[in-house]
Order: sequence, then structure tokens, then C-alpha cells
Amino acid sequence: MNKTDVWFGDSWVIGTGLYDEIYQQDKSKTPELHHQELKHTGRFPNLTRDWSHPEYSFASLTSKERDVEYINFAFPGSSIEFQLVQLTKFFKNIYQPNINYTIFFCVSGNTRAFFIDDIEHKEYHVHPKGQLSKESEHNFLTDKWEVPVFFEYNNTRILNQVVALCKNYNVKLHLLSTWEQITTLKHIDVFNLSTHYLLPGTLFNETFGAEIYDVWNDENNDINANYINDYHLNISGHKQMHIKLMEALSEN
Amino acid sequence: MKTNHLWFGDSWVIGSELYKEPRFRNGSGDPETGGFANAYVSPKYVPNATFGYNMPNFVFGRKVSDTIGAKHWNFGFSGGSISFALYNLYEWIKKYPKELEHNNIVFLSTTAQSRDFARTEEDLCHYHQNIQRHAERHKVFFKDKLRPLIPFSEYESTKTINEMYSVCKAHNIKFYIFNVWGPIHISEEINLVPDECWLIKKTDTLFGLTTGTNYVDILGMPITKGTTENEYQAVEFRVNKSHPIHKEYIHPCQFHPNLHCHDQMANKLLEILDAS
Repeated sequence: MNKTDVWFGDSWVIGTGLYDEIYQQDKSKTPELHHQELKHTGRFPNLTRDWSHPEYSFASLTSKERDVEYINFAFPGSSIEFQLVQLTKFFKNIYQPNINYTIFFCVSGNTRAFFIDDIEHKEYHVHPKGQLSKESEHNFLTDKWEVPVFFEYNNTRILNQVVALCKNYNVKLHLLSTWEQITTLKHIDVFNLSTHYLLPGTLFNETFGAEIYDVWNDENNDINANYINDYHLNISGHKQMHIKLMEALSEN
Repeated sequence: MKTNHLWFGDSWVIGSELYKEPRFRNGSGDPETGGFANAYVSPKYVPNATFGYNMPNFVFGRKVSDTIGAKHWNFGFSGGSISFALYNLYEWIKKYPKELEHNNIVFLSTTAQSRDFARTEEDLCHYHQNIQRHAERHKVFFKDKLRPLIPFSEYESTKTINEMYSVCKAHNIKFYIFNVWGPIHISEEINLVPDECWLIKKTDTLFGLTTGTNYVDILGMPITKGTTENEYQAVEFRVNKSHPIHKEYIHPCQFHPNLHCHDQMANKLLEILDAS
């Protein structure tokens, strides 16, 4: 039976900024050509023109080492709600029962959200920092919830649905906190969500032994100097996270 | 094996206004709270009833469950949303895990798509464009300040119905859905609920099939197109009490089905269930 890894996540999973790093060394391929080549693989349905290079992300490195086919639905600035919509459409339109899928659902920022407008059917991403994507067809808003105390409730509902869908389609699921963890609301946690995580902490913390916010806030930090490029991992950083992920998968 | 029927919905499911029926005015002297003897229900099986206002022992769902010989659980709530229905399902799964060993059937009676619900550690919060009295029991919230500008109720309610269906399936619970008083708009782009879960067509209502008349024609609801118009503003109803269907199926209630209507709606549902 064919095996396919299916990845959902944000800029960390799609490898935002990695082509910038490559382009600084070798300018033989324009960013547009690079984008077109990746787009034609069909592996990255939500690819944007933001200097990402998903083939160098920990996601692709991991699937390649596992020697399986892969699809990466990650999108920069994505919420887990957008990821759920992508997962829903995957099961509705792409899923084939004769393929052995493994879902890697990489949890993104707590306070992000997503919705589709009833009238014009436009998609809206909600992100505390506003416009992030360079793709004009994506609409970013800064505020959806007037009172942010509902995040735990909303996020727990989304993860419940992710677990239920994978269970109903008999598909292996790994929840993974890439750089931030989500607190679940115990009143509605009917699937004991903590048991579905591949790692107890974030992949970043498990790899580097530090919290991303501490690293971001300390310019002199060694991790910042060696593995971070702006707000994202560089190629070396992705390799380190990939090694940690392979270790976790071998123990699972 | 024991069968549980779990009914979810709004005031129509919990039997709002039925205390106005003459047979429940049992001498207590207070028409607003009359019929106490008939109103009592176990909070375990009917957790959201407002004592003396709702009469869940006489609703259409109860008759269906009793006729089939199933245990009737009623999670209806006046002004309730589809999200609150889902929350009640979650609570039931968490509170009564042993019930999952039985034969369980969920009946989701849809409500207005613009309603919503969320909770925090401390508070249960409802969104309803009209009913301020929810504040008496739970905090009222206006969750999405963007909604009046960019309506997205179809997306939200389709997502919630998907979730309810998927969680039921993952727990081996049979899932049925139907509209009772108003049709629902489903976002087919993300819809995962198979058509066979719908007891009646998505464009039909149980009230309409029972009486041959759209409820909104009697309600005087100022709806012109679809669900998105005016759904975030308080609506002033002008009930058409002279309408013959109001006289037969609503009166002495104002907005909700009377006993006769509940009985007829139960018969219609039993007919549909029998056929399926």
C-alpha cells in the first residue's frame, strides 16, 4: 500500500524564509521560477511567494527520510481553524482508502482564526499582527473575537474535530506543537487530546531546550545566532528539528 | 440493549410556552408558572429546562422516544444555538461515559444559524440577537464583532454540525438532523454530513411538513432573502394570530407549537423514522 504523509501547519511547516537563505548564496534561479517549480510539484497547495522553500523544512526532510510521498498544506500565518478546513477538504476531495496516510497536524498560534464569508465566500484569516501573506487573494484581519477568553474553547473544539475525523477515516494522526502549545478546555476534551501529541512540549523546545519567546527576546542567544533567521528557523534549525522529530517517531 | 435518544435544539425541543395550555393550569393561580405538577423533570435527563416555563414531558421528541421505547434525554434550551447543542453532547460524553456502551441516537433539531455559544473556565456564554433574558442565567456575549460586517454563520454552523456528526461517529452514536421551524443553509464546500443523516430535506421544516405552512409566514418575521439578512439585529415579530394555522397549531402559545402541534410533529417524525 502506498504511504503518504499529510502536513498541516503555518510558516514553520512550509519553510518560510528558507529560499531567501539559499538565494543569498546562489542567485541562478529567480524567486518566481523557484515558486513556479515548487507549485508544479502539486505537493504544496497553499504555497505563497514569500521566499519559502518547503523542501528544506523539517516536514519534507522527515517525509523524505521516512521514504514516503508527502503533501504539505501549510500556509504562512495559518490558524489551526484554517488547518481544519484544509483537513476537511482533504478528506472530502483527496483522500483515497487505498493509501496509508499519516497526518501531521502542527499546531500554530493560539490567537489566530479563520472563517469563510457567507455571501461572497471569501476566506478570511485572523492574525494578531494583521497582514502577513504576500498573496493578495488572502484576506488578513487583525480581530475576530471581541473577548479573547474563548480561545481555549475554540481551539479544543477544533482539535476534537481533527481527532474525530482521523479516527473516522482510520488514519494515523500525530498532533505536534511546533513553537507554541495550546491549552485545552477540560470540559469539552472528550478525546484526551494530550495523548495524541507526539511530544510533550513544543518541537522547538524539545529540540533546542528553550522557549521560542525567550530566544526571540534575546539577540545574543546562541540559538538565535545559529538557527533563527528573523522570526523563523534557518536551514540548520530545520535540520535540527527534523532530527528530533525522527527520534520521537522512532520511539512512538 | 438499552437505547438512549438524545434530543438537541432550542425552545421547540424543550417545550417553551406549553404551560399556557389550559390543561396545565392546575389551580396554582399563576398562569405564568401554572402546571408545576406536570413541569417537573429530572435535571440529569433534562438539564436545561426552565421550571414552569418549559414543559419537556409533552414535546414531540418525548412522544417519539416513548413510542419507540427509548430513554429520552432532552438538551433543548430556549434561544439555544447549534454550538450549545454540541457543548451539551460533549458534557454528556464526559459525564456519562458508561452510557456510550448502549445504543445511542442523537436528534439535532437545528436552530437559527446566527446564534452561538462559547465557554470559559467560569462562564457559559450565549449569543442571540433577541433574547436579553439569557443574561439572567448565563452571560450574553457578542462573540464576533466582525459578524455584522462580514457574516459567516453558514460557515460556523456547517463547521459545528460537521463536528457534532464526527464526534458522534467516533463514539459510535447514530446521528440524525432536521429543521424544525426554519430551513438551514449549509456550506457544501466543507459539508461532511451525509444526506442520509437528514431526516427531512435541508430546505424543509418539520413544522412545514406537519402543517403545510412555513412557520415564518405565521411569525411575521421580516425575512426576505436567505439567513444572512438582518440576522445580527434584534427582530421585532408581528405574530399573525388570525392565521388559521396559528389558531390550530400555535395558540394559546404565541411563538411556539401548542400540544396539538407537538403531537402532530411527533407523528410526522415517527412516520419518517418508520419509513427510513
